[in-house]
Amino acid sequence: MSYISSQLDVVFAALADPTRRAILARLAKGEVTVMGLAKPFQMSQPAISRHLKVLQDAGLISTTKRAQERPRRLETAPLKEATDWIEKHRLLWEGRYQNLDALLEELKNKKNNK
Amino acid sequence: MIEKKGLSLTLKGDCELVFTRVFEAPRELVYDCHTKTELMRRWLTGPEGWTFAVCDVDLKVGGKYLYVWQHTGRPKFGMRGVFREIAAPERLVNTESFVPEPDSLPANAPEDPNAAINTLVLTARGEATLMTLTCRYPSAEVRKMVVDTGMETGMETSYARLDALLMK
Repeated sequence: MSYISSQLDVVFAALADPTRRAILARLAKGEVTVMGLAKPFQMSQPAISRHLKVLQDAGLISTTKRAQERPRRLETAPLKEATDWIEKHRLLWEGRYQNLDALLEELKNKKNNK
Repeated sequence: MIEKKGLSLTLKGDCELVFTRVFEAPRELVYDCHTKTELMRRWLTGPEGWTFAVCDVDLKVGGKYLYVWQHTGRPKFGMRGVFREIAAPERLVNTESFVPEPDSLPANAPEDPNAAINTLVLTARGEATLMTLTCRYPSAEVRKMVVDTGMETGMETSYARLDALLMK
């Protein structure tokens, strides 16, 4: 298995959890510390930290080292890779459904001409 | 939610893939195209160069189906499964699994434990039809494998087009 596909598995697993998706949505607005996340999500700091570790292992976030509070930051590259992968698969199926569109059009015309 | 005409594909949880698409036709017709073999043969084609060789459908609860695609000089492949729920023209539930060597598949082959469960729901939207196809796999690993297989088939289409281009 290639590195890229196994890394994608980790990204999809990280994205499968609604809390983690909400954390990413929050980080899309700007950097936040663990403390800053624990409060609005009504979770303990260790619970938030566990989610952040999964996101960080997937490369979806990084830790800003310069500040003492180590705020977390969203990384967009793996997200883009994941959406590109879905898009390729979608296009394959879309081709088949375009065949179906043509067939349905033909069937509708037949029905109307009866 | 804005419904685009094109196919939307989303990953739901760890084990599901959800396809949604709108068709500009009444749902009876869309349903027929998913269940009548003479119509299925027209659109459920494989990648370019492949023919839809076998389309056996025993449309009843507990009935089996087998689809096989073939290509000169390449191994055949197929899909098979069992119908679980049939409610024309709105709902069709069936299992689905990949058949790597359709010719050596015994007629009484048991159900594949890794089979996906596909739920097709057709909703009338005026003159149009919204399709929601949910494919549930037994695990995240199986889902990944299935999608990768689809990707390879997609790659095959690209290569076939490249072949055609190079022949010119």
